[in-house]
Amino acid sequence: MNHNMKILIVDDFSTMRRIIKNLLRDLGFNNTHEADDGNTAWPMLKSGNFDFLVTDWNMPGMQGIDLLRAVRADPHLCNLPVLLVTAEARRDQIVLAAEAGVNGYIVKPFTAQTLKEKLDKIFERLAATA
Amino acid sequence: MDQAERLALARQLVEALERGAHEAADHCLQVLSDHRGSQLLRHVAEVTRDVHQAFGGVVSDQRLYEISKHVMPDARERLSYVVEKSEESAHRTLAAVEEMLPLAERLCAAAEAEVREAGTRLRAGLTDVLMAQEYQDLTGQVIKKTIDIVEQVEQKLVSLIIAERLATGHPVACAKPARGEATGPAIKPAADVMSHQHDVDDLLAELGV
Repeated sequence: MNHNMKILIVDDFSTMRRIIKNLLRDLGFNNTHEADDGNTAWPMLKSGNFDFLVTDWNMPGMQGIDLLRAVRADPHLCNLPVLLVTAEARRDQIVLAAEAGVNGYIVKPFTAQTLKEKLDKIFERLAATA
Repeated sequence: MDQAERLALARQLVEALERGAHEAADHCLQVLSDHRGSQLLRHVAEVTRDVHQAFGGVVSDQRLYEISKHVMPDARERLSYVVEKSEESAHRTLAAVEEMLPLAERLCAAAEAEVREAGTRLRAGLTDVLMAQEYQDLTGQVIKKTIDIVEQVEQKLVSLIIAERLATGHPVACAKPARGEATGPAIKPAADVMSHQHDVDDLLAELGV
């Protein structure tokens, strides 16, 4: 796993962005950037050479699921790994996210250990298919 | 139509069906269903009248006006205050944790084993404090949703009151604000909600993610 990879954290709650940023720093990822919804995130993703996207689902403006769909539909971003970290925990929502091509799904409240496990799993899988 | 009449019609219907007299059978059915229909309509009319009377009484009630005018906006303000204050508090906690984490790192790199162990424990404790702040996101989402609901109900009430005032021509006079009692939201997990990460993992594995 490349610890210099550029990560975008998208959440409308600044507290949650700060928590995820600190957890990622603790795991050795220092190159993190923040956006407060899909509309702010999208131009950053288009021009920012990001390696990884961590996004919430329920946000005012553009929702996380729509951001995921936009990423998968874009020829330059379609392979970007996406991790959803959200309080949305209904079965049909998880199915929807899987169908939209999500790489990992964490339900809030979550633990630092869960975040580490999901990151490891996502990058193991990507390495295996590369 | 009384019980005996209905019974007689039912007998006629059976008898007509048995001898293959379809027109006579259809006629019996028509009479029976017309009767049901008019009974239903009468019930609907009664219920509508009751609802209309009850509704008119409620809407012209002064308390309802006070609730929509003062109590509900006040409740929204209080809820917004809770979101604001808990967010501020969470940020203060996070700032303190961020300041202490490098100190814990320094202890972790110390020469003495005892200090290193203290550093490791301090680091783990600070991470716990950090994670505990996520309540602010979760409760904040619930409260923001509640504020939206209160606002929607408030708007509907206001438009009802305006409609009633226009219909009756009774202006609603201002009185002292009514006292409202706030109770916290009760949150029950629904059956199709994945309340544990391992449930989510199982489902994703089924879906090949």
